[in-house]
Amino acid sequence: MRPRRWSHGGAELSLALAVVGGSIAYGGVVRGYSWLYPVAVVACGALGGAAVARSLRWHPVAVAIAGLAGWTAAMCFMFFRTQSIGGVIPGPETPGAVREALAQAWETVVYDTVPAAPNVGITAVLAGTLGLIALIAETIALSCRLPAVSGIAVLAALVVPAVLKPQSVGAAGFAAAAAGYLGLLATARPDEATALGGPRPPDESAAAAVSPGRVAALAAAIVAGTLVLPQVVPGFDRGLFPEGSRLRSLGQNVGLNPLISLGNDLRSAEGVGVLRYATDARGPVYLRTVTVEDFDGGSWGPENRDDQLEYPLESISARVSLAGASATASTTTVVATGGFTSPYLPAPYAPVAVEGARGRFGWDPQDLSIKGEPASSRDQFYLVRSAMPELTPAALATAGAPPRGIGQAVQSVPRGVPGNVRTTAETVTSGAASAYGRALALQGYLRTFQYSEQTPVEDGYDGTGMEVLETFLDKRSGYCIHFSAAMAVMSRIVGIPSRIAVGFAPGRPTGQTISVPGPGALPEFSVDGRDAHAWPELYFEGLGWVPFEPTPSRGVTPSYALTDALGTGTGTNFDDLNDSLNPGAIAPTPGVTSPPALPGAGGAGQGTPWVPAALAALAVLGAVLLAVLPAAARAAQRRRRLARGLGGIWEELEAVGVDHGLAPHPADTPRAYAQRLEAWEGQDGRLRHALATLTREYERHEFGRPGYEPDEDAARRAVADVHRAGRRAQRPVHRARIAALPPSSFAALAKALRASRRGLTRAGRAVVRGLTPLAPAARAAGARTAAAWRRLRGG
Amino acid sequence: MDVHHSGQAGIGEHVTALRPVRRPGHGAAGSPAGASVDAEPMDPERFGSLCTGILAAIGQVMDGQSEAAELALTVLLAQGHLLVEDVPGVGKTMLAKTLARTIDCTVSRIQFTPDLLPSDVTGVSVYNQATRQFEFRPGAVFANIVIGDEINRASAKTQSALLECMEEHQVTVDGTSYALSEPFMVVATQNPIEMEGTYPLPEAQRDRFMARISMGYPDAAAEAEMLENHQSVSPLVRLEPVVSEDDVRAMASAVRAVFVSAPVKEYTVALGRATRASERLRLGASPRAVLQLLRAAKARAALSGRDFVLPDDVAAMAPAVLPHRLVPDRRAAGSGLTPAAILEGIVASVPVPTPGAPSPRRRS
Repeated sequence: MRPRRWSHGGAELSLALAVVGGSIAYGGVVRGYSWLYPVAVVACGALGGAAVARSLRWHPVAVAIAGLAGWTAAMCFMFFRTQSIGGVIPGPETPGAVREALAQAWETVVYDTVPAAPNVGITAVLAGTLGLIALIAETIALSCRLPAVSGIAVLAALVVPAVLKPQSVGAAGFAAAAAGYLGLLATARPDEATALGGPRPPDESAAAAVSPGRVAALAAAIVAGTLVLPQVVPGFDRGLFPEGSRLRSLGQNVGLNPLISLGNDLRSAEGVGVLRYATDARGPVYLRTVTVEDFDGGSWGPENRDDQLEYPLESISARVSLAGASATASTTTVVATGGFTSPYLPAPYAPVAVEGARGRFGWDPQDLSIKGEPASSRDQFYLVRSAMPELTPAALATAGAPPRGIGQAVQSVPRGVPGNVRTTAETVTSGAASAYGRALALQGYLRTFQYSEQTPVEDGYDGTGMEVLETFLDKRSGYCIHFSAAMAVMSRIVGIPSRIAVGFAPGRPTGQTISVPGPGALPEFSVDGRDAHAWPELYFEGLGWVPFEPTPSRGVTPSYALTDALGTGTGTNFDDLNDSLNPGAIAPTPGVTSPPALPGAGGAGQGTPWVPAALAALAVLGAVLLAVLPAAARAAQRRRRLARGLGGIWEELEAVGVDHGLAPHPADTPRAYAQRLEAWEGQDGRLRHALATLTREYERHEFGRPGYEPDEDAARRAVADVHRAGRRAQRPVHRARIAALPPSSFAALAKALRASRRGLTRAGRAVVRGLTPLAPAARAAGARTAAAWRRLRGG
Repeated sequence: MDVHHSGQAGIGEHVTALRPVRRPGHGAAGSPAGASVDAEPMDPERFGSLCTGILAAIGQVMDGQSEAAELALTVLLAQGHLLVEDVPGVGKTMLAKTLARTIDCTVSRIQFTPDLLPSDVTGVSVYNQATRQFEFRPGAVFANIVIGDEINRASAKTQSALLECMEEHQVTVDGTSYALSEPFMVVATQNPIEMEGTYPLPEAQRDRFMARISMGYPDAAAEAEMLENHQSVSPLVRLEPVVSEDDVRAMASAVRAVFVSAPVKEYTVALGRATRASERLRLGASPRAVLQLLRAAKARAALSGRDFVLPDDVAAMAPAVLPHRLVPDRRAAGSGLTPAAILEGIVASVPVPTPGAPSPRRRS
């Protein structure tokens, strides 16, 4: 009988729900939800194309091609309408537009922070990828007849938000994806005409066979794909976007997503990626990459000022007046970035010249960050000359205000400052006369807070933004992002221009020295992911930008910012791990506590990251296998039974009955049982016919004269018909449950366990009593157990 | 004494025999202890068409009693005896007569009364003055189908005279055994309501009947149809025999040839043992009962056009074959549980052999 047309319509709709609904999880990876509509259109276009082809009963390959055509048309319509013929067919101008969009997406991936701006490029990539995932899932579910396995494709779509967002996928996206997947399980009916290999032998079509081997291979392929794909696809192997991803710990590079990924870096179990530097400064130095000035919006990030970059790097000059400085301290630093990948070159502030960097780098006159255009910091080795005015409390205290000659961007108090931030700022600084005094008061106040990388995550305020700041002041706990942002915002409130510098705290000495032409042998330091840091820079007229350190137990509090200098001490907050490393550099701090154990941290990136990644992959694989295990075991049982002749076929019929709520009673004769199964009869009388065939063949085989050759093929076809009827008789939600967790596979297991237990109990009793001869009881128990296990295995 | 020998056209209760019963000495069937020759088994198509014919013929007379008719035929083919137990007027005797009429064979009817003597049933040796010898005059039991009306009204002695015939298919008078003709079937009726002046059949005797059926009232439509059919002349008069005596022998032989697989034998034995193990039964099924159950099942299989027995056949015949042999214990009887109800529970609990069950009989 030909399957009904559109018999797969429900499956296609469910898939659309799974993919589009699951894509809700991308809210937070890409800003807003404006991308949801294109994603839905493209996914529906792809699935619609495939569905139409299926309804026309085309060959599975043609179905896939039709799906791709639908996908292409939808992509053209949504993103490249003007460059396409008729808005849907790619034209000669389309490739150019695609390249442009890809370049934009690449840029977003490399430079942007999470959540990324929903520009055309990233939206097109997102929609295109999800559309293709939908198509792959469709092919797995319907063409390959593996509806349960297609969940892995849906899962793949959720991997990106799962690893990028601190709060993981989110309930809505997961629920929608799960609902779609269950719907797919409930509605997927293998359509023989449009499945690969054409109509199959009935035993397999009955099974919609999911063999454990096939599932394992697929799961392994998908996990491998998830891990390998980002490494080989150009544009995704470096940059900020995937760097927050914990999967990236495979590589040795430290992503420095200025604000968001920093939390992840800090929380990583061991430092990832190693950057080394040697300096002739009096102590280790902060390596600065970029600054954040704009505190508006829900999430802060560096400004893109590529068009203002200046060249060459040999003559960098800050456009600020340093008139108030009495002397200038120059330092020379060599930096080996290793695997650290960022568009910015880390450099001690304030760079005057950078030599030896490969690629095209320019410097941003506003914050002196050094940016590749296009080039990355990966595997760079360069020399930085920096110059800073000699900063003393006295000079700072007399620094003039209000500042002139700097932009409004660093001065304006951001919109929507929460009330408690403003009042706190004003209360804390009420006693200070000078700008410097206010800055120290703010720093001292913040240093009484608790340093914690966990609290923000647990309380859901990881990241940046005004609400986060409000919560931070409330919880009095957070990490450098929160401390630096709080100080920067509060400084502006009290009239000091400010910005957040992002980079690395000084790190640890390696004990080695590096010979540098000029200064000679310099002590080497190493920095890894855990040193990722953010700190506020405040502007003092005549002295330029001055870094402060409000974060307790991180970094090095500069001598001019030591609150003791002003007598507004904050007690023993200087339990600074970096301070303790280099006592000669800065005034020794009291109350040094032992730093966290760090030995070997420098070598941490050499191979150990493989272990957690491999474990994670194994865990994912294990979870996937565990999830499909019941269905796979059931399928394997079914195959073995169907291959075993009529006895096995009848067992399979009984298993189908168990699955669908009509378990055989021990006192049922085959005929009586078949009669009960007729409850599933639909309109067409097919079930009754199938049951009659099965009963006739089985009875003849089992009770008839020896030598009867049963028509096993007909019996297998009949079991398939009964299975179909049983499925049809269920409500969709039960159908999905049965497909995912077939009761019969558990029933067989329970029976085997019961038999084993019974056998053991009996043998045990026999031993205890010493009356019953042990051997016969044990033998009987063994036979029963073996039979039950044979039955479980279907063999 | 009220014994009738009837051949073809018995109308009503008292009909003269149109064809004499074959007497001993006049044919093979009556010869002393003669071995009955097993006829060649019949081919299935003919078997089926004959069965259909018999049932259709019975159906012409008995409205709405197809189940009872089928059961009666089953017992005939299984070479058993039938006990019909029901209230008066539902057609017990009519069923027996109709079945007999459809077969071209000898029929005799015995109206059992308390004064009926064993020799009336078995026959008697009479001294022939002419030959100066005792001559055996066969009794009513010398017929292919013996209808025993109200069997529980006869004395125990007469009843037990019938017993030997039923079990042995032979009559022994004055030390000489006379074989009864094949097929030989006793269809006895008894009335369970009127108990005054009756001698209830003892367990041993009940055990000899292969099946006991209870006809029950026909449904309204069948009853209306019956009124129509029986208005002028009984349809029994018009009934022509459908099968010959030889056919019946061949059919019985075909039933004997029906294949019984090991699992079915096992199941039959399990059913019998379950009745013996049941706490609610004082007396369970005897081995003879088990044997007869299987024979009945074979006949049912053959009637269904199969040459092998299904557990279904056994289960289906059990309610007809077993209950009249079972004796409920006092508590079960006190709580109103009939043997039939107890048996129903037993049939519903005895596992049917499945290929998965560990068992030595399993084929590959």
